[in-house]
Order: sequence, then C-alpha cells, then structure tokens
Amino acid sequence: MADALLAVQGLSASAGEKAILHGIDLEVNKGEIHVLMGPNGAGKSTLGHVLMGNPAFTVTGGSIKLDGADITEDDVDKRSKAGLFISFQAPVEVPGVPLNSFLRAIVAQHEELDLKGKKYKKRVAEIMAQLDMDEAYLNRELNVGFSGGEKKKVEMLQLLLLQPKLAILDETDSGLDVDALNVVSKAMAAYREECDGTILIITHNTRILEHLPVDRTHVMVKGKLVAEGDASLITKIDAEGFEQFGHVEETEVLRSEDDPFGGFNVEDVLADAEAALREADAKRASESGEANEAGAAE
Amino acid sequence: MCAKERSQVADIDRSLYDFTKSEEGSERLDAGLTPEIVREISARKNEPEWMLEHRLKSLEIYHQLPVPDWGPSIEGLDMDNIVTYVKPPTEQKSDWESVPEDIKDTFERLGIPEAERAYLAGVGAQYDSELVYHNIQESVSELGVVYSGIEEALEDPKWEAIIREHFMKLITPDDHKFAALHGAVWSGGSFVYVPAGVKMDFPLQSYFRLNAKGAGQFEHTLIIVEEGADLHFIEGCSAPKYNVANLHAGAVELFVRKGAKLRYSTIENWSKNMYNLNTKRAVVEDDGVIEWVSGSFGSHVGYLYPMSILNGAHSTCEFTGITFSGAGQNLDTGCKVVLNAPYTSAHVDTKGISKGGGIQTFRSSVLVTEKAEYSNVAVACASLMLDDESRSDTIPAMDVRAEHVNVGHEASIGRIGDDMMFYLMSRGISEAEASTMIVNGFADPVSKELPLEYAVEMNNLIKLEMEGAIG
Amino acid sequence: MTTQTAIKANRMPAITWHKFKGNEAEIELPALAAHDAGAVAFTVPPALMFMETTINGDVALDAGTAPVKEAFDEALAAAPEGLQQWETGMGEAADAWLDAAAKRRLAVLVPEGHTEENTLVIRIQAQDGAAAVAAVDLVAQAHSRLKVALHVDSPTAGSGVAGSRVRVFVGEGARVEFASVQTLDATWQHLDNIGAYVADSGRFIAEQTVLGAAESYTGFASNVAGREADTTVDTRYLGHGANKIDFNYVIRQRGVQSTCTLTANGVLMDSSAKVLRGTIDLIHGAKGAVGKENETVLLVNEDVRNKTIPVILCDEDDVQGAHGATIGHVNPEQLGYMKTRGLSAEQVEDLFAVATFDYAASHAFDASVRAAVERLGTRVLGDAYELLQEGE
Repeated sequence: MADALLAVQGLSASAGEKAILHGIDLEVNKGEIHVLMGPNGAGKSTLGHVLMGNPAFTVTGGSIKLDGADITEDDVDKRSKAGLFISFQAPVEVPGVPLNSFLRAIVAQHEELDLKGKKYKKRVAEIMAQLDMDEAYLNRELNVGFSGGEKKKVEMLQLLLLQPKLAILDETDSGLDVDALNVVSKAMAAYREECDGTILIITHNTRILEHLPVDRTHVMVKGKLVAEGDASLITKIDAEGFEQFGHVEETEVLRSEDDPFGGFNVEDVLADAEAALREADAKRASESGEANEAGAAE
Repeated sequence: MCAKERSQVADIDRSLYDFTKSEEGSERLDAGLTPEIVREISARKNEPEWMLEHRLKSLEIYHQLPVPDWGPSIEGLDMDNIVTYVKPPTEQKSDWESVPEDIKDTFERLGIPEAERAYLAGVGAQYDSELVYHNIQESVSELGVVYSGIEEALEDPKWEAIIREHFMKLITPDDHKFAALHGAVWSGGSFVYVPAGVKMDFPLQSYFRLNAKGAGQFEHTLIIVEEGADLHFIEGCSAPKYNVANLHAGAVELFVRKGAKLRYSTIENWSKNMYNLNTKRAVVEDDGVIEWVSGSFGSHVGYLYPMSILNGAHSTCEFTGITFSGAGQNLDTGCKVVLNAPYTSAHVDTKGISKGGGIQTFRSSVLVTEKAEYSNVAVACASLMLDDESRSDTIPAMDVRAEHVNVGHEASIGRIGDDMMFYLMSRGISEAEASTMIVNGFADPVSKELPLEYAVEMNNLIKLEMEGAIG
Repeated sequence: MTTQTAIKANRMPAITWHKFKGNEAEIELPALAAHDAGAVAFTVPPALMFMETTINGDVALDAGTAPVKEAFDEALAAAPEGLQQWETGMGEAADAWLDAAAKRRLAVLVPEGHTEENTLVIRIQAQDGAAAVAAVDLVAQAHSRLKVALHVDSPTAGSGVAGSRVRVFVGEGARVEFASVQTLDATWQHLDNIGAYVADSGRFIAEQTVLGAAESYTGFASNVAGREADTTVDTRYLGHGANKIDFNYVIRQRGVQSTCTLTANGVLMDSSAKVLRGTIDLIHGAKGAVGKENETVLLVNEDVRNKTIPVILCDEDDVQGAHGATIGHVNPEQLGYMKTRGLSAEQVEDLFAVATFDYAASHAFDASVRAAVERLGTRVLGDAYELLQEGE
C-alpha cells in the first residue's frame, strides 16, 4: 500500500504527561471515505488534531505520511499547504477579521488553487450558493456571533474552497443538530464530486453516515484502534454499541486550560459553601445522633 | 446553633490590637520636621557620616516634592504635629525576659513570642522608633544568615559597606515625597542577609508596633537573598487607635539574586487613625522569584503598591493581595511591576472589599520594556461592594513596549449575588453568616497563600469587619 | 485663524501616577488658517429640522433654529445637578479650540417619532495649513431614529488639523447610530470630540474607526443618564508608521439599569504608539447598571508602544462592572485555527492589519469612504493591499 494517501504508522501521542494515543496504524487511499468511531473520550478527536499537528499534543512515537511525504514534524500551516484539512466542532471567533479577508488570505497560501481576484470572488459566490449562504456573511467578522449552524457552514465553505487532498471532519457533536448535519452532508457530496475528495470522518453518531458510501470503519477505544471493517461495522455498532470491543471506560477529555485569571468565581464560592454546609450538616447529624443514642440508652 | 455561632464571633477579642500602654519612660523628640530634628535622630544613633548626609539631603528633597494629587486626601496629616522619633525605655534585647514588662506584654498579646517558639527562624520586634527585641535561631545563624536591626548591622564594617551599597538605592529619596521623608527620619527596621544556596525552612518575622500617640514610624527593611537562596519573610504591624493622626512611612528594599526566591508576607492592621504611606520594592535577577502576599485591613488612609522590578531573564513575580476597607477608611492599594528582561512573567491576583462607607481603590501599573520580549503578564482584580454607601475604584495602567508578549488584564466589580445569598439562606444560614461565608470565599485565594496562623488571623479580621455589616 | 498653542486634552477623570505619563495628552497645535467652504460638507436627510451656518456665518436655513436650541436647553435643564456643562471626551480646552476653529456649524433636530433611517452625512476634508473642523449638534427627540456618518479625510497633500466636535442628545426611547471613519494621511493631526447625553431607554451606538493621521486624538463622553439608557462603542484602529493615537472614553452611568459596552480592537505596526483610556463611572444611584469594557491590542512590531488604562469607578453596590484587556500576540486559539488553514504566525498578523482596512472598506457608508479607505490601505500596506482588492 505504498500509494496510500494517508499512512499512519505506530502513532502515539500525549497531552502533557498523559498518553492519549497508543500505536495507531491507519491507511486511507485516495477517494475513500473512512469513518472513525468510538465512545466519548476515546481519543478520536485527538487523533484528528494530532494528524493536523495541534501543538497541544506531543507525538511520542510513529509517523504520519501524506501523499508519500513524511509530515510528522511539520508545522500546522505546512500541513495545510500539503493538502490536509480539519473541520472544527467549535471554531474560534476572530473579531477584527472579516470572513472575506480571511478567505482571501488562506486562498493566497494555496497557490495551486490559482484563485486570484475575480476568480476568487466567483468561486466563493459559487460555494456560498451551494451551501445556501448569504454573501453578506463575507463582511462579518470570522465566526463572531455566528450560530452553530453558521459556523459549520463557514467550515464547509473553507473545505470546498481549499479542496484539500484529505479532509478530516470532526463531527463528534454534529449528530445533535439536524441543520449542521445537512450542511456537512451537502458539503461532503460536493467535495467528492468536484475533486474526488478523500474523507476521514470522526463521529460516534451514525446518522451522519446515512447515504454515505463508507469504505472503511475504524473503532477507537481508550486511544487504540480496536476494530476495523467495512460499512457493515457501522450497523453492528448501531445495534450492539461499543461494549462489544471490550470494557469501555470514558477517558478524561482534554480541557482547555483553566481561566488563567481566576477571577471571583461564583461556582467556587458556592462549592466552598456547599462543603461548609455538608460539614455543618454532618456535625448536626452527629450531634443529634449522639443525642439519640443518649436517648436510646435511657 | 446560630446562637453558638454568634457568640463565637463575639468571642474575638476586640482588644487584640487596640490597647494602649503608658508612654512613661519613652523619649519623644519634638514634633515637626527640621534639620535639627534630623540631626538629633542621627546623633542618637551614632551612625556613619554618610547616613547623616543622606538624611539631610532627603529632607531637602521632601520639602521640594509635591503631595500626590492622584490618591486619597492626606489633608488630615499635619507633619508639624507628627513626632518622628520616640525611643522606648529600653535597649534591644535578645531574650523576652529582659524586655520591659509593658512592652513584653504587648507582644505577648499579639502572639509574637508564641509564634517564635512554634515556627519562626527568627523574630524582630519594633516598638515605636526602635527595635526592642531581635533574635535568630542559632542553627540558622550558623548557616551564615544575618537577621538583625539595621542600625546594629551598620556598626559592623562588613555589613556597613553592603548596606551603604544598597540602602535607598532601590527606593531613592526623590521617588516620591514620603520616600524622601523616610530617608530623612528613618529609624529601626531589619537587615536580612541570606547567603548563596541557603534555603530557610522557617520564616523570619518582624513585627512593628506603634504605641505612641501622634507619632510616626519609619522603619527600614533591607533584605538580600543571595544566589539560589530561599527566604520567607513575614511582616506584621498594628497600633492602638488614637484620635490624632499617626503616620507610617516605612521602606522595604528587597534584592533577589540569581535563582533566589523570596516570599514577603504582610498583614497590615494599623489602627484607623493611621496614614500608611509605605513603599516596598524588589529587584529580581535571572531566574529569581519574588512573591508578595499582602493583606491590608487597617489604616485611615493607605497608599501601598509593592513594586517588583524583574531585571533578570526568566525571573517571576507573583502578587496576591486583599484590601478590606471599612468605615472611615480610604485604602488605595495595588502593585507595580516592571518587566525588564526576556522571558519574565508576572501574575497579579487581588481582591478588594468595601463596606460601611469605606473606599477601596485598586491601582496598578505594569510596564513591559523593550527588553522584555517573550514575557507574560496576567492581572486579575475583583472588588466586592457590601453596601451602597461604599466605593470601589479600579485604576490599572499598562504600558507595553515589546512585541512578543502577552499581557492580560481582567477586573470585575459587583456585590454579593442575590442568588448566592438566597441559596445559602435557603439552607438555614443567617444573612450575616452567609455574607461572612461568601466574603471568606472571596478572600480565599489570599488566605491560602498565608501561613496557617496568619490565615486564621485574616479570617478573624474579616469576621470582625463583617460584624454589623448587614442590616 | 488660530494661533500656535499647546492644549491638554483627553484627561481621564480619575488620574493615576504622573510618572506613567498617561493621565492626559498634550497637543501641540500650529497656527492655522480658517478652512474654506470646501472643507466641511453636510448632507441632511429630508424631514429633519436643521440650522446650517455657511462659511460666511450666514444661516443658510433657519427653519430649525428655535426648536433645536430649545431642545438642547431642555436637555441641559433635565440634566442632574452637578452636570454644569455638556461633558465631552477631550475636555474643555480642546472643545473650546475646536469650537473656535469650526467655521461651519450644523444643528439638527429629529422630530419625535421620526424613524426613517436616512443617514446624516458629515464630510470633513483636510486643507493644507488650515483647521478643517465641523461643529455639529444633534437632538434626537423621543422615539426617533438617526444615523450619522462622519468621514474625516485628506484627499490632497498638506498638513494641518481636521476634525469635529459633536454633541448628541438622545431622547427617551430614541436611537442614534454614529459611525465615524478617519482616513487622514500621515501628515495631518486629527481631533474628534464627542459629548452625548442619553435619556430613558435611549441608545447611543458609536462605531469609531481610526486608520491614519500623524496624531489622532479622540475624546468621547457619554452621560448615560436615563433609566435603561445605553451607550455602546465599538472602536477600531490601526497604528502604522510613527503615528500616535490617543483615545479617551468617559462613560458616566447615572441611569438605573443603564448599560454600557466599550469594545476596542486595534493593531499596532511599525513604530506607532497608542494610548487608550477608558473610564466607566458607575455613579451612586445607578442601581442595576452594567458597564463593560474590553480592549484587544495586537502588537506586530518591537518598536510599537501601547498604553491601556481601563478604569472602573464604582459608587454603587447593585451594579456589575467588568473590564478586560489583552495586549500582545494573537491568542493561541485563534492562531492555531488560522494555521490549520495554511497561514503562518506572521501571515496571521499581517492579516489582522489588512482586515482592519477590509472591515472599514466593507462597512463604509458609501463609495467615497470606501475609496478613501482603500487609498490609505494601499499607501500603508503597499501594493500587496491593492492586489488583494483586485477584481472586487
């Protein structure tokens, strides 16, 4: 399989001290659709982020090859230029940067697209029409005040604009939102039609996979790929859940760092108060308990 | 149960800080500020000639500099009425038994000898203008640690040279009016020298008591923590309440060498006739650490902004502070940080509480110089208003001159949320208890940084301040 | 004709250490000629009452004189004790200077209930050796709507001062949107001074964009006096070359349940310097008031200098005040996201600078404002910016 588009070998990664991925082997051929499934906290999204080079994670072993080139050490922007794309569940808001300025800037970094000036404008208009987006969005600041569905559209707009070699679609939560689901389905179809796109879709909800010609299904549990099969595996998971792959224990999800400013936190105070109340209750209970015992002894 | 809780609150000894001892036997110089008085203070101390020159020059500067126009009013402070020097009727001792009964009793009531026995590596106690007690554990002095009165250290030529090199070099007399005043009439205070590599397991503590009515206290603290050494220094202060103004204008100069660490903790509880115009400053070399823990509860008017100058690469500053301003108080507190080397970082976390018409101001200045590339600053300050008679201002200033830095600032002001009160009261807690509980929770990040005994003292102070705060 | 002078302006209400050198700005003003007729132009939408003074001092149309003056007098009379005069952000000295320099004046009254959203346009074009200043008084009576576009530009080369002094009265339930864009080239001084008064349930919404000038001074004061009154300010600026930008925002929240949101986003390039003072003053009695302030400053060169002083004064317990500031680099989350699309850290910073112009251009009131933004963008960012605009 020397000509696999994505070839991942023995990939292990950690976040800080905590090992999250353990010896992942994965191959995706051009034009295929792969599904990565697994219970919450299994490390699915982490795999997507490690493939993209998110600096929050450290690769502790193994390699990632894209179209034959080793990208394991490459910086994130270089991977993007090499043809890798990841969609975000909750893309960040960027005040001060209109969507149009952003799109123009990223297109300029992907020279092979040859989308300058009028061509750029035409292409964006085309995709926006496909995704049923009002062009007025172009003048709004990137993701600022966008709804979940709108943010999803912006992600898919970028997918179709950049036409990457491989799209990693992190749709862990999308199953919950019908609108978002439709946007993603539409975009996936267009991506495949227009440039024979290759997709690795991450999900634990199978609704998004309906009507999608899935080539391979991978199951991740506790940071390991534990099963692989064709599309029928999805039906099996639907019926039997992830428990069939052994004990499923939700691993700790990586959280963004605590608010470094740690201002006056109502929850903290309430938690402290709760603790104090429990203590007082326990004391009262033991006092009344003692009283009862004393009474009983009579 | 409620009744029991209440009696606990009432059990706090109100006379803990507010008791007066006779001034009999003390020697008071005349009130006011003249070259003659400055000369007399100097003469009594038998100090080197350069120090007298320094005093006289400072006095000149004092007269030239304006009274600050940006902070709380100090109109009630008439320097002509302040006695700058009051000598207690004793020399400095190193055992409590030799300290005169009245003075010994004072410090016993404040718990100093007890704390010394329990967990301190050394103690200095100042009464009015002079130290009355100074002692350091033998095991610590054997390591080469010096902890003595600053005047005492001046008598040793070795330390005189070092003091001369550092004394008022960080806080120069022309810094501001009250730094100049300090330079002219300073008296007492401690000198600490921790040799390279010595890591002290237990803190040193200096306690400052101002007993004399209408007097000023101007102690100077000079601390040098050499390379790789580690020290925790605690400073406490209190005074009985008089109906005339008292003044405190101390100065604290801290030198933290390469890889050294100094934690400087203060619980300030001056009486509410005090003008506390204090200056504290630290300079930190490569990889050094300065940590300030600062609780301000007392004084009528306070100006206090400990300053950290991060001069060495990778040096850090942490400032944790709380200010509680009640009736008749106007406390203007905060900090200053100068990041003046690459890869430095500063973390400031302060809480302010105002009640009963008290005014509380958080004031800060953060300067990130051209040299401070790759530095980080995070400032957070929160203010809690306990009633609508009080006032709380937040006046932070940031000046950033470097590119690869991150400076973050967050502040909030508000009162105790109704939902929080409702929640607690729905569990059977009285309004007063609930608000005390919430205020304690608010102050928690600060008390967590204090040694246990001081955290308890701080919580007691908050309870005291909170009493009668509600309805 | 003005004489050479230095005035102190933009002083914050509660000052701090003088050594910080941020309490106020000192503006050196050269001797300047009076501007001529072309420097200031007003376009007043139909159905508004207005009074306009020509360059000769003639009142061009005085149908609105009496009502406008009356409305202002009423507003002043309604102001609480202690409000002796209309507070403006730059302060009295600068206001008086601008007032004297303004040769064209406009007073506009939006009648009660008038909600047609035509835009009042104020154009100020800098003139070499002159002070091009407009003085504008606006009264939006109860439940009316008004949109204002102010453009300060320098279509020709030269040096001098361009700016305005604007007083706004926002009546009960009225809403005034005020968008200003400054696109002066690097030889001019810019002074814009605003003072607003907002009555019950009124809203004053300002968008201020500062893109050029050698020195730019913006003063903004709003007296959020009415119950549930609001003032919202969105400030965008770009520092480049060696220019100096100086802002002073003073928001007095007097009204019960009044609200205020100050947001500033800026990028500092080259050796530019900026000071932003933002004071939210929660005055005793403003029960339930909420005041928020946030500034993000992106520093993209080691020679820039940024001062930020976000002040909250609070004399009332039943309020919420908050301020935040982020100064330095693009935050890691934003940077990380944009890198996944192929941008390097440096390109992300460049993008923010370009985006400041883009945003101003795409939100420009009309083609002439847009052209001015693009002209300045090309001048500041070079051909790269012009190329980007190709085909649009």
